[in-house]
Amino acid sequence: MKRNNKFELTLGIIMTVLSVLLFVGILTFFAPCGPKEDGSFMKCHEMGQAVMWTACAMTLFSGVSMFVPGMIKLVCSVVTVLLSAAAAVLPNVMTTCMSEKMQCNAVTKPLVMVIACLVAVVAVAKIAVVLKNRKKNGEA
Amino acid sequence: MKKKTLPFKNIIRKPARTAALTIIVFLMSFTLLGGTLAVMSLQRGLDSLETRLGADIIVIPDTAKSKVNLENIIFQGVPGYFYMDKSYVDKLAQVEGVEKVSAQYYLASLSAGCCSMPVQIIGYDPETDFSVTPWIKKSYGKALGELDIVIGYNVNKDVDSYITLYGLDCKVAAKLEQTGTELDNAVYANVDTVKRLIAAAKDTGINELSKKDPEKIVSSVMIKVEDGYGIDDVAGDINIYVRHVQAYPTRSMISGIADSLSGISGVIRVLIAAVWVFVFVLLCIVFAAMVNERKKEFAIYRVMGMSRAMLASMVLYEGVIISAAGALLGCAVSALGLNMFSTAIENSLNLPFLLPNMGALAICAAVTFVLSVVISAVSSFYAAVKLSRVDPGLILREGN
Repeated sequence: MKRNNKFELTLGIIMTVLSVLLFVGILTFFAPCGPKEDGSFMKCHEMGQAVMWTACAMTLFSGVSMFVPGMIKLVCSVVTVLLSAAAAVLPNVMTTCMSEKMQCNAVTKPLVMVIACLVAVVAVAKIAVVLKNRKKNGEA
Repeated sequence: MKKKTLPFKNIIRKPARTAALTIIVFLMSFTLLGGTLAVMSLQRGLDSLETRLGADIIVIPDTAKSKVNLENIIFQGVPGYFYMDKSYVDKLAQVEGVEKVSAQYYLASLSAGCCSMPVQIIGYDPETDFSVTPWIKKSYGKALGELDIVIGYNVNKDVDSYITLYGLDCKVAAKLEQTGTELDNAVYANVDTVKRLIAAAKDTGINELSKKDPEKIVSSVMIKVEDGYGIDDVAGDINIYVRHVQAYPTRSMISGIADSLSGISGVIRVLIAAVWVFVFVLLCIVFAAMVNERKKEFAIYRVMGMSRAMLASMVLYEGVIISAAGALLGCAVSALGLNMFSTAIENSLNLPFLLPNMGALAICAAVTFVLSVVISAVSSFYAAVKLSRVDPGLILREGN
Protein backbone atom coordinates (compact mmCIF):
# COMPACT_ATOMS: atom_id res chain seq x y z
CA MET A 1 0.00 0.00 0.00
CA LYS A 2 1.30 3.46 -0.92
CA ARG A 3 2.30 5.79 1.92
CA ASN A 4 -0.40 8.38 1.10
CA ASN A 5 -3.12 5.71 0.92
CA LYS A 6 -1.94 4.39 4.27
CA PHE A 7 -2.22 7.87 5.79
CA GLU A 8 -5.68 8.30 4.25
CA LEU A 9 -6.76 4.98 5.75
CA THR A 10 -5.32 5.93 9.16
CA LEU A 11 -7.31 9.17 9.12
CA GLY A 12 -10.44 7.21 8.14
CA ILE A 13 -9.93 4.80 11.05
CA ILE A 14 -9.39 7.66 13.55
CA MET A 15 -12.52 9.41 12.22
CA THR A 16 -14.62 6.25 12.55
CA VAL A 17 -13.30 5.38 16.02
CA LEU A 18 -14.07 8.91 17.27
CA SER A 19 -17.57 8.77 15.74
CA VAL A 20 -18.20 5.41 17.41
CA LEU A 21 -16.90 6.86 20.69
CA LEU A 22 -19.39 9.73 20.39
CA PHE A 23 -22.22 7.33 19.58
CA VAL A 24 -21.40 4.90 22.42
CA GLY A 25 -20.52 7.69 24.86
CA ILE A 26 -23.78 9.60 24.45
CA LEU A 27 -25.60 6.36 25.26
CA THR A 28 -23.39 5.35 28.19
CA PHE A 29 -20.62 7.18 30.04
CA PHE A 30 -21.44 10.75 29.07
CA ALA A 31 -25.16 10.30 28.52
CA PRO A 32 -27.33 13.31 29.40
CA CYS A 33 -29.38 13.39 32.62
CA GLY A 34 -31.51 10.34 33.41
CA PRO A 35 -35.29 10.33 33.65
CA LYS A 36 -37.17 12.10 36.45
CA GLU A 37 -38.64 10.17 39.36
CA ASP A 38 -42.02 10.07 37.62
CA GLY A 39 -40.40 8.44 34.57
CA SER A 40 -40.70 11.45 32.26
CA PHE A 41 -37.65 12.77 30.44
CA MET A 42 -35.68 15.86 31.37
CA LYS A 43 -35.26 18.71 28.89
CA CYS A 44 -31.82 17.55 27.79
CA HIS A 45 -33.18 14.20 26.58
CA GLU A 46 -33.95 15.57 23.10
CA MET A 47 -30.45 17.00 22.80
CA GLY A 48 -29.04 13.58 23.70
CA GLN A 49 -31.22 11.90 21.06
CA ALA A 50 -30.22 14.43 18.39
CA VAL A 51 -26.51 13.95 19.14
CA MET A 52 -26.94 10.17 19.19
CA TRP A 53 -28.52 10.08 15.70
CA THR A 54 -25.96 12.54 14.35
CA ALA A 55 -23.15 10.37 15.77
CA CYS A 56 -24.79 7.33 14.19
CA ALA A 57 -24.76 9.05 10.78
CA MET A 58 -21.15 10.20 11.35
CA THR A 59 -20.11 6.59 12.07
CA LEU A 60 -21.84 5.42 8.91
CA PHE A 61 -20.33 8.04 6.61
CA SER A 62 -16.83 7.92 8.08
CA GLY A 63 -16.87 4.11 7.96
CA VAL A 64 -18.10 4.03 4.38
CA SER A 65 -15.50 6.63 3.33
CA MET A 66 -12.75 4.07 4.01
CA PHE A 67 -14.04 1.54 1.49
CA VAL A 68 -15.48 3.58 -1.39
CA PRO A 69 -13.43 5.00 -4.26
CA GLY A 70 -12.74 8.54 -5.55
CA MET A 71 -15.54 11.08 -5.56
CA ILE A 72 -17.85 9.15 -3.18
CA LYS A 73 -15.03 9.04 -0.61
CA LEU A 74 -14.72 12.81 -0.86
CA VAL A 75 -18.48 13.33 -0.53
CA CYS A 76 -18.60 11.03 2.53
CA SER A 77 -15.79 12.98 4.20
CA VAL A 78 -17.48 16.32 3.47
CA VAL A 79 -20.77 15.01 4.91
CA THR A 80 -18.84 13.84 8.02
CA VAL A 81 -17.41 17.35 8.46
CA LEU A 82 -20.91 18.86 8.25
CA LEU A 83 -22.38 16.27 10.62
CA SER A 84 -19.60 16.73 13.18
CA ALA A 85 -20.05 20.51 13.03
CA ALA A 86 -23.76 19.95 13.67
CA ALA A 87 -22.99 17.61 16.58
CA ALA A 88 -20.69 20.23 18.13
CA VAL A 89 -23.36 22.93 17.81
CA LEU A 90 -26.38 20.85 18.95
CA PRO A 91 -25.72 21.00 22.76
CA ASN A 92 -25.44 24.80 22.48
CA VAL A 93 -28.59 25.43 20.48
CA MET A 94 -30.87 22.79 21.97
CA THR A 95 -32.35 23.10 25.46
CA THR A 96 -30.43 21.52 28.29
CA CYS A 97 -31.26 21.31 32.00
CA MET A 98 -31.50 24.32 34.27
CA SER A 99 -28.42 23.83 36.43
CA GLU A 100 -24.92 24.04 34.99
CA LYS A 101 -23.98 21.37 37.55
CA MET A 102 -26.17 18.70 36.01
CA GLN A 103 -24.62 15.89 33.97
CA CYS A 104 -25.86 17.26 30.61
CA ASN A 105 -24.20 20.65 31.12
CA ALA A 106 -21.15 19.59 33.12
CA VAL A 107 -20.09 16.47 31.22
CA THR A 108 -22.18 15.70 28.09
CA LYS A 109 -22.00 19.15 26.50
CA PRO A 110 -18.20 19.69 26.66
CA LEU A 111 -17.36 16.09 25.72
CA VAL A 112 -19.70 16.13 22.71
CA MET A 113 -18.12 19.41 21.56
CA VAL A 114 -14.55 18.13 22.00
CA ILE A 115 -15.13 14.79 20.21
CA ALA A 116 -17.20 16.36 17.40
CA CYS A 117 -14.52 19.02 16.81
CA LEU A 118 -11.81 16.33 16.70
CA VAL A 119 -13.83 14.36 14.11
CA ALA A 120 -14.25 17.56 12.07
CA VAL A 121 -10.51 18.28 12.15
CA VAL A 122 -9.61 14.71 11.15
CA ALA A 123 -12.24 14.74 8.40
CA VAL A 124 -10.89 18.02 6.99
CA ALA A 125 -7.38 16.51 7.03
CA LYS A 126 -8.72 13.47 5.20
CA ILE A 127 -10.37 15.66 2.55
CA ALA A 128 -7.03 17.44 2.02
CA VAL A 129 -5.21 14.10 1.65
CA VAL A 130 -7.86 12.72 -0.73
CA LEU A 131 -7.70 15.84 -2.89
CA LYS A 132 -3.89 15.71 -2.92
CA ASN A 133 -3.96 12.05 -3.97
CA ARG A 134 -6.50 12.75 -6.70
CA LYS A 135 -4.36 15.58 -8.03
CA LYS A 136 -1.30 13.32 -7.96
CA ASN A 137 -3.17 10.60 -9.85
CA GLY A 138 -4.40 13.13 -12.41
CA GLU A 139 -8.07 12.81 -11.48
CA ALA A 140 -10.31 15.87 -11.87
CA MET B 1 21.90 25.89 1.35
CA LYS B 2 19.54 28.24 3.19
CA LYS B 3 20.53 28.18 6.82
CA LYS B 4 17.27 29.66 8.11
CA THR B 5 14.93 27.19 6.43
CA LEU B 6 17.01 24.12 7.15
CA PRO B 7 15.68 23.45 10.70
CA PHE B 8 12.09 23.70 9.40
CA LYS B 9 12.86 21.30 6.56
CA ASN B 10 14.47 18.86 9.01
CA ILE B 11 11.40 19.03 11.24
CA ILE B 12 8.94 18.44 8.38
CA ARG B 13 11.06 15.68 6.84
CA LYS B 14 10.82 13.54 9.98
CA PRO B 15 7.17 13.79 11.09
CA ALA B 16 7.31 10.86 13.55
CA ARG B 17 10.33 12.27 15.40
CA THR B 18 8.78 15.74 15.43
CA ALA B 19 5.46 14.38 16.70
CA ALA B 20 7.17 12.40 19.49
CA LEU B 21 9.13 15.44 20.71
CA THR B 22 6.08 17.70 20.43
CA ILE B 23 4.02 15.28 22.52
CA ILE B 24 6.68 15.20 25.25
CA VAL B 25 6.78 19.00 25.50
CA PHE B 26 2.99 19.10 25.21
CA LEU B 27 2.75 16.84 28.29
CA MET B 28 5.18 19.05 30.17
CA SER B 29 3.31 22.31 29.54
CA PHE B 30 -0.10 20.65 29.90
CA THR B 31 0.69 19.31 33.39
CA LEU B 32 2.33 22.53 34.55
CA LEU B 33 -0.42 24.88 33.39
CA GLY B 34 -3.25 22.45 34.22
CA GLY B 35 -1.88 21.73 37.69
CA THR B 36 -1.13 25.37 38.46
CA LEU B 37 -4.58 26.50 37.31
CA ALA B 38 -6.24 23.70 39.29
CA VAL B 39 -4.43 24.71 42.50
CA MET B 40 -5.22 28.41 41.87
CA SER B 41 -8.88 27.60 41.14
CA LEU B 42 -9.25 25.62 44.36
CA GLN B 43 -7.71 28.44 46.40
CA ARG B 44 -9.83 31.05 44.61
CA GLY B 45 -12.96 28.95 45.20
CA LEU B 46 -12.22 28.77 48.92
CA ASP B 47 -11.55 32.52 49.14
CA SER B 48 -14.74 33.17 47.21
CA LEU B 49 -16.74 30.93 49.56
CA GLU B 50 -15.36 32.75 52.60
CA THR B 51 -16.21 36.14 51.09
CA ARG B 52 -19.63 35.06 49.88
CA LEU B 53 -20.66 33.69 53.27
CA GLY B 54 -20.15 37.27 54.38
CA ALA B 55 -20.91 36.73 58.06
CA ASP B 56 -18.50 36.05 60.91
CA ILE B 57 -20.86 33.62 62.61
CA ILE B 58 -23.82 31.56 61.40
CA VAL B 59 -26.42 30.55 64.00
CA ILE B 60 -28.72 27.63 63.27
CA PRO B 61 -31.17 25.51 65.31
CA ASP B 62 -29.50 23.21 67.82
CA THR B 63 -30.04 19.86 66.10
CA ALA B 64 -27.53 17.61 64.39
CA LYS B 65 -29.79 17.65 61.34
CA SER B 66 -29.51 21.43 61.04
CA LYS B 67 -25.71 21.38 60.93
CA VAL B 68 -25.65 18.56 58.38
CA ASN B 69 -28.26 20.40 56.31
CA LEU B 70 -26.35 23.69 56.45
CA GLU B 71 -23.08 22.00 55.45
CA ASN B 72 -24.91 20.16 52.67
CA ILE B 73 -26.39 23.43 51.39
CA ILE B 74 -23.09 25.31 51.46
CA PHE B 75 -20.56 22.61 50.61
CA GLN B 76 -22.40 19.80 48.84
CA GLY B 77 -25.13 21.71 47.03
CA VAL B 78 -27.85 19.46 48.45
CA PRO B 79 -30.92 21.66 48.92
CA GLY B 80 -32.44 21.56 52.38
CA TYR B 81 -34.31 23.52 55.02
CA PHE B 82 -34.62 23.87 58.81
CA TYR B 83 -36.37 26.42 60.95
CA MET B 84 -36.31 28.02 64.40
CA ASP B 85 -38.39 30.62 66.15
CA LYS B 86 -37.97 34.21 64.93
CA SER B 87 -37.57 35.48 68.51
CA TYR B 88 -33.97 34.19 68.46
CA VAL B 89 -33.01 37.06 66.14
CA ASP B 90 -33.64 39.61 68.91
CA LYS B 91 -32.00 37.41 71.56
CA LEU B 92 -28.87 37.10 69.45
CA ALA B 93 -28.74 40.84 68.77
CA GLN B 94 -28.43 41.41 72.53
CA VAL B 95 -25.32 39.24 72.96
CA GLU B 96 -22.23 41.31 73.72
CA GLY B 97 -19.96 41.81 70.72
CA VAL B 98 -22.68 41.31 68.11
CA GLU B 99 -22.71 44.26 65.69
CA LYS B 100 -25.26 43.17 63.09
CA VAL B 101 -27.76 40.33 62.83
CA SER B 102 -29.77 39.29 59.82
CA ALA B 103 -32.10 36.35 59.40
CA GLN B 104 -32.07 34.02 56.41
CA TYR B 105 -34.69 31.57 55.23
CA TYR B 106 -33.94 28.30 53.48
CA LEU B 107 -36.34 26.42 51.30
CA ALA B 108 -35.75 23.59 48.83
CA SER B 109 -37.90 23.60 45.72
CA LEU B 110 -39.42 20.33 44.57
CA SER B 111 -39.32 21.27 40.93
CA ALA B 112 -37.90 24.25 39.14
CA GLY B 113 -40.23 24.26 36.16
CA CYS B 114 -37.80 22.39 33.97
CA CYS B 115 -36.32 19.37 35.63
CA SER B 116 -36.92 17.37 38.75
CA MET B 117 -33.78 18.99 40.14
CA PRO B 118 -34.50 20.74 43.43
CA VAL B 119 -33.15 24.26 43.82
CA GLN B 120 -32.00 25.82 47.08
CA ILE B 121 -33.96 28.97 47.79
CA ILE B 122 -32.29 31.44 50.16
CA GLY B 123 -34.36 34.27 51.51
CA TYR B 124 -32.83 37.37 53.07
CA ASP B 125 -34.15 40.49 54.76
CA PRO B 126 -33.07 43.49 52.62
CA GLU B 127 -33.41 45.86 55.61
CA THR B 128 -30.87 44.06 57.78
CA ASP B 129 -28.88 41.92 55.34
CA PHE B 130 -25.14 42.46 54.99
CA SER B 131 -24.03 39.17 53.44
CA VAL B 132 -26.13 38.66 50.28
CA THR B 133 -27.06 42.25 49.31
CA PRO B 134 -23.50 43.39 48.40
CA TRP B 135 -23.31 40.52 45.88
CA ILE B 136 -26.76 41.14 44.48
CA LYS B 137 -26.01 44.87 44.08
CA LYS B 138 -23.19 44.00 41.70
CA SER B 139 -25.70 42.39 39.32
CA TYR B 140 -28.92 44.23 40.16
CA GLY B 141 -29.02 47.82 41.37
CA LYS B 142 -32.68 47.97 42.41
CA ALA B 143 -34.53 46.41 45.32
CA LEU B 144 -36.11 43.03 44.60
CA GLY B 145 -39.89 43.13 44.25
CA GLU B 146 -42.30 40.43 45.38
CA LEU B 147 -41.79 37.20 43.42
CA ASP B 148 -38.59 38.63 41.93
CA ILE B 149 -35.61 36.34 42.34
CA VAL B 150 -31.86 36.51 41.75
CA ILE B 151 -30.31 33.31 40.48
CA GLY B 152 -26.84 31.89 41.06
CA TYR B 153 -24.40 31.67 38.15
CA ASN B 154 -25.04 27.98 37.51
CA VAL B 155 -28.81 28.27 37.23
CA ASN B 156 -29.38 28.00 33.51
CA LYS B 157 -32.06 30.68 33.05
CA ASP B 158 -32.01 34.11 31.41
CA VAL B 159 -32.76 37.40 33.11
CA ASP B 160 -36.46 38.37 32.76
CA SER B 161 -37.50 34.74 32.27
CA TYR B 162 -39.68 32.93 34.82
CA ILE B 163 -39.08 29.96 37.12
CA THR B 164 -42.03 28.13 38.65
CA LEU B 165 -41.46 27.42 42.34
CA TYR B 166 -44.24 25.71 44.30
CA GLY B 167 -46.70 26.79 41.61
CA LEU B 168 -45.68 30.47 41.77
CA ASP B 169 -44.10 32.08 38.71
CA CYS B 170 -41.02 33.97 39.90
CA LYS B 171 -39.31 36.49 37.62
CA VAL B 172 -35.52 36.25 37.26
CA ALA B 173 -34.37 39.81 38.00
CA ALA B 174 -30.63 39.16 37.80
CA LYS B 175 -27.93 36.52 37.67
CA LEU B 176 -25.07 36.61 40.16
CA GLU B 177 -21.38 36.45 39.32
CA GLN B 178 -19.66 33.08 39.51
CA THR B 179 -18.21 32.07 42.88
CA GLY B 180 -17.20 28.51 42.09
CA THR B 181 -19.13 27.31 45.14
CA GLU B 182 -22.39 25.48 45.67
CA LEU B 183 -24.01 28.87 46.26
CA ASP B 184 -23.88 29.31 42.46
CA ASN B 185 -26.77 26.85 42.28
CA ALA B 186 -29.05 28.72 44.69
CA VAL B 187 -31.91 31.13 44.11
CA TYR B 188 -32.10 34.31 46.23
CA ALA B 189 -35.28 36.16 47.13
CA ASN B 190 -36.35 38.78 49.62
CA VAL B 191 -38.17 37.86 52.78
CA ASP B 192 -41.66 38.62 51.39
CA THR B 193 -41.16 36.35 48.39
CA VAL B 194 -39.75 33.58 50.56
CA LYS B 195 -42.68 33.82 52.98
CA ARG B 196 -45.06 33.44 50.04
CA LEU B 197 -43.03 30.48 48.83
CA ILE B 198 -43.03 28.93 52.31
CA ALA B 199 -46.81 29.36 52.45
CA ALA B 200 -47.11 27.80 48.98
CA ALA B 201 -44.80 24.96 50.06
CA LYS B 202 -46.98 24.44 53.12
CA ASP B 203 -49.98 24.06 50.82
CA THR B 204 -48.15 21.28 49.01
CA GLY B 205 -47.97 19.43 52.34
CA ILE B 206 -44.29 19.43 53.19
CA ASN B 207 -44.23 17.93 56.69
CA GLU B 208 -41.61 20.23 58.18
CA LEU B 209 -43.63 23.30 57.28
CA SER B 210 -47.15 22.09 57.93
CA LYS B 211 -47.24 23.20 61.56
CA LYS B 212 -45.27 26.41 61.22
CA ASP B 213 -46.36 29.96 60.56
CA PRO B 214 -44.06 31.54 57.92
CA GLU B 215 -44.27 34.86 59.79
CA LYS B 216 -42.76 33.38 62.96
CA ILE B 217 -39.84 31.33 61.67
CA VAL B 218 -36.31 31.86 60.35
CA SER B 219 -33.70 29.33 59.21
CA SER B 220 -30.44 30.89 60.28
CA VAL B 221 -29.08 34.12 61.64
CA MET B 222 -26.00 35.72 60.10
CA ILE B 223 -23.91 37.67 62.61
CA LYS B 224 -21.24 40.31 62.12
CA VAL B 225 -19.00 40.70 65.15
CA GLU B 226 -18.11 44.14 66.45
CA ASP B 227 -14.49 45.29 66.06
CA GLY B 228 -12.46 44.50 69.16
CA TYR B 229 -14.32 41.26 69.93
CA GLY B 230 -13.05 37.81 69.05
CA ILE B 231 -15.27 35.81 66.68
CA ASP B 232 -14.70 32.58 68.61
CA ASP B 233 -15.44 34.33 71.93
CA VAL B 234 -18.75 35.73 70.67
CA ALA B 235 -19.70 32.34 69.17
CA GLY B 236 -18.82 30.73 72.52
CA ASP B 237 -21.00 33.24 74.40
CA ILE B 238 -23.93 32.52 72.09
CA ASN B 239 -23.54 28.79 72.62
CA ILE B 240 -23.49 29.31 76.40
CA TYR B 241 -26.18 31.95 76.86
CA VAL B 242 -28.68 31.34 74.04
CA ARG B 243 -30.35 27.95 74.36
CA HIS B 244 -31.47 25.66 71.53
CA VAL B 245 -29.25 27.27 68.92
CA GLN B 246 -25.70 26.56 67.79
CA ALA B 247 -23.26 29.25 66.61
CA TYR B 248 -20.58 28.35 64.05
CA PRO B 249 -17.76 30.74 63.12
CA THR B 250 -17.67 30.63 59.29
CA ARG B 251 -13.88 30.19 59.33
CA SER B 252 -14.21 26.98 61.34
CA MET B 253 -16.87 25.73 58.94
CA ILE B 254 -14.54 26.01 55.98
CA SER B 255 -11.45 24.74 57.80
CA GLY B 256 -12.31 21.17 56.76
CA ILE B 257 -12.38 22.26 53.15
CA ALA B 258 -9.12 24.16 53.59
CA ASP B 259 -7.49 20.94 54.88
CA SER B 260 -8.72 18.89 51.91
CA LEU B 261 -7.62 21.66 49.60
CA SER B 262 -4.13 21.81 51.02
CA GLY B 263 -3.85 18.00 50.70
CA ILE B 264 -4.99 18.02 47.07
CA SER B 265 -2.80 21.03 46.21
CA GLY B 266 0.22 19.26 47.74
CA VAL B 267 -0.41 16.12 45.67
CA ILE B 268 -0.81 18.19 42.49
CA ARG B 269 2.45 20.09 43.16
CA VAL B 270 4.39 16.84 43.76
CA LEU B 271 2.95 15.38 40.55
CA ILE B 272 3.91 18.47 38.55
CA ALA B 273 7.47 18.31 39.93
CA ALA B 274 7.70 14.57 39.18
CA VAL B 275 6.44 15.01 35.61
CA TRP B 276 8.89 17.86 35.00
CA VAL B 277 11.91 15.94 36.27
CA PHE B 278 10.84 12.89 34.25
CA VAL B 279 10.24 14.94 31.09
CA PHE B 280 13.56 16.82 31.46
CA VAL B 281 15.50 13.54 31.76
CA LEU B 282 13.49 12.09 28.87
CA LEU B 283 14.17 15.12 26.67
CA CYS B 284 17.91 14.94 27.39
CA ILE B 285 17.91 11.25 26.41
CA VAL B 286 15.78 11.83 23.30
CA PHE B 287 17.95 14.72 22.04
CA ALA B 288 21.14 12.74 22.72
CA ALA B 289 19.73 9.72 20.86
CA MET B 290 18.54 11.96 18.03
CA VAL B 291 21.96 13.55 17.61
CA ASN B 292 23.59 10.11 17.70
CA GLU B 293 21.20 8.83 15.05
CA ARG B 294 21.86 11.88 12.82
CA LYS B 295 25.64 11.87 13.23
CA LYS B 296 26.29 11.18 9.54
CA GLU B 297 23.83 13.84 8.44
CA PHE B 298 25.61 16.38 10.61
CA ALA B 299 29.02 15.26 9.39
CA ILE B 300 27.87 15.90 5.80
CA TYR B 301 26.75 19.40 6.79
CA ARG B 302 30.21 19.99 8.23
CA VAL B 303 31.89 18.72 5.07
CA MET B 304 29.62 21.05 3.04
CA GLY B 305 31.02 24.01 4.98
CA MET B 306 28.81 24.46 7.98
CA SER B 307 30.74 25.63 11.03
CA ARG B 308 30.47 23.91 14.42
CA ALA B 309 28.60 26.89 15.85
CA MET B 310 26.15 26.89 12.94
CA LEU B 311 25.52 23.17 13.41
CA ALA B 312 24.97 23.57 17.15
CA SER B 313 22.62 26.50 16.61
CA MET B 314 20.66 24.50 14.03
CA VAL B 315 20.08 21.68 16.53
CA LEU B 316 19.13 24.21 19.18
CA TYR B 317 16.82 25.99 16.73
CA GLU B 318 15.09 22.72 15.86
CA GLY B 319 14.57 21.98 19.55
CA VAL B 320 13.15 25.44 20.20
CA ILE B 321 10.71 25.27 17.25
CA ILE B 322 9.40 21.84 18.29
CA SER B 323 9.14 22.78 21.97
CA ALA B 324 7.36 26.06 21.13
CA ALA B 325 4.78 24.12 19.13
CA GLY B 326 4.35 21.53 21.91
CA ALA B 327 4.19 24.16 24.65
CA LEU B 328 1.65 26.25 22.73
CA LEU B 329 -0.52 23.19 22.16
CA GLY B 330 -0.19 22.10 25.80
CA CYS B 331 -1.13 25.55 27.12
CA ALA B 332 -4.09 25.86 24.75
CA VAL B 333 -5.49 22.38 25.50
CA SER B 334 -4.95 22.81 29.23
CA ALA B 335 -6.63 26.23 29.47
CA LEU B 336 -9.49 25.27 27.14
CA GLY B 337 -10.01 21.90 28.84
CA LEU B 338 -10.12 23.41 32.33
CA ASN B 339 -12.56 26.04 31.14
CA MET B 340 -14.86 23.50 29.51
CA PHE B 341 -14.71 20.93 32.28
CA SER B 342 -14.48 23.18 35.35
CA THR B 343 -18.01 22.24 36.49
CA ALA B 344 -17.29 18.54 36.05
CA ILE B 345 -14.05 18.94 38.05
CA GLU B 346 -15.93 20.84 40.77
CA ASN B 347 -18.56 18.08 40.87
CA SER B 348 -15.98 15.33 41.18
CA LEU B 349 -13.77 17.08 43.76
CA ASN B 350 -16.73 18.37 45.77
CA LEU B 351 -14.72 21.47 46.58
CA PRO B 352 -15.19 25.12 45.58
CA PHE B 353 -13.50 25.63 42.22
CA LEU B 354 -13.24 29.05 40.58
CA LEU B 355 -10.97 29.52 37.58
CA PRO B 356 -8.65 32.55 37.63
CA ASN B 357 -9.62 35.56 35.52
CA MET B 358 -8.32 35.98 31.97
CA GLY B 359 -5.35 38.16 32.98
CA ALA B 360 -4.02 35.66 35.52
CA LEU B 361 -4.68 32.81 33.10
CA ALA B 362 -2.73 34.56 30.34
CA ILE B 363 0.22 35.23 32.69
CA CYS B 364 0.28 31.57 33.84
CA ALA B 365 0.11 30.38 30.21
CA ALA B 366 2.95 32.73 29.18
CA VAL B 367 5.17 31.61 32.08
CA THR B 368 4.46 27.93 31.30
CA PHE B 369 5.26 28.49 27.63
CA VAL B 370 8.58 30.20 28.37
CA LEU B 371 9.58 27.58 30.98
CA SER B 372 8.75 24.68 28.64
CA VAL B 373 10.75 26.21 25.78
CA VAL B 374 13.71 27.00 28.06
CA ILE B 375 13.76 23.46 29.51
CA SER B 376 13.66 21.95 26.01
CA ALA B 377 16.38 24.34 24.83
CA VAL B 378 18.59 23.37 27.78
CA SER B 379 18.02 19.67 27.00
CA SER B 380 18.95 20.11 23.33
CA PHE B 381 21.88 22.43 24.16
CA TYR B 382 23.90 19.59 25.72
CA ALA B 383 23.38 17.46 22.62
CA ALA B 384 24.28 20.40 20.37
CA VAL B 385 27.54 21.07 22.26
CA LYS B 386 28.48 17.38 22.21
CA LEU B 387 27.79 17.27 18.49
CA SER B 388 29.96 20.30 17.69
CA ARG B 389 33.02 18.49 19.16
CA VAL B 390 32.76 15.47 16.86
CA ASP B 391 35.19 15.06 13.97
CA PRO B 392 33.16 14.72 10.71
CA GLY B 393 35.88 12.79 8.91
CA LEU B 394 35.93 10.14 11.62
CA ILE B 395 32.15 9.72 11.49
CA LEU B 396 32.03 9.41 7.71
CA ARG B 397 34.82 6.82 7.75
CA GLU B 398 32.96 4.79 10.43
CA GLY B 399 30.44 3.59 7.82
CA ASN B 400 33.05 2.12 5.51
